[in-house]
Amino acid sequence: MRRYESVWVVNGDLPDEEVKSAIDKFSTIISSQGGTLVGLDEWGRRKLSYKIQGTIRGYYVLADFAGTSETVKELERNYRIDDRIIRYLTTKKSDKVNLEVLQAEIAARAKAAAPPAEPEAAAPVEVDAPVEAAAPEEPADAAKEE
Amino acid sequence: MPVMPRRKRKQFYVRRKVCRFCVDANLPIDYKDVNTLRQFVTERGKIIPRRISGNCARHQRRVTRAIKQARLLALIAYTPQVPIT
Repeated sequence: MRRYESVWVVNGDLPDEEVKSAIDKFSTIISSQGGTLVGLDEWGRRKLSYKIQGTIRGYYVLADFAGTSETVKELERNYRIDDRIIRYLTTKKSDKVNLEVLQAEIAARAKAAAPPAEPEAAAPVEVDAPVEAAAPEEPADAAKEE
Repeated sequence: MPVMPRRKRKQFYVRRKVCRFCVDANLPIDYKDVNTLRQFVTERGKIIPRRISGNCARHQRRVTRAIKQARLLALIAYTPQVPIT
């Protein structure tokens, strides 16, 4: 298994559902061809630096995954077939993959993505506590100085 | 100090450029990092030569490669949209 990174650009003029189905399709291909998807990073719609197939907008998606050369071969074959994909680039990041490290990274990604609500709930409690704790200390310090 | 020839010559003081990727080993060269790559192309989109950029051979190769990858993905232009006259 090797670690790869693949960017594909979906035609940005297509409706959101089309774009979404294209993203799902290719992430499924990675998983079904013996690959392990570590992270999927959607950059969203960006202006292209030059016109490609008459469009100036593209929806960029970056997939970080571990797989074999067969995974990449199948993925790139499908990129070429699909009309919605206007550009793609797959690069190798490392030759060897440590599965444990990989699992840890997947878990870390999931953790980072999942709880945006939790810090909000936790924050007010933390804010209250230091204020109370700090208040009695100050007079004590002042007393010592006197 | 090198021994200078007797006859007076016009002296050039060339500031030695150092490869910034060698100075800071953490500085990544990546086709996704468009802002860094922009510093190594001219307004016309040409790759700035090593002689000017001061990069070492190894890092210049990597920069060049990254620029070409970024061009392919339309992250940087091959050439400006409106020609500079």
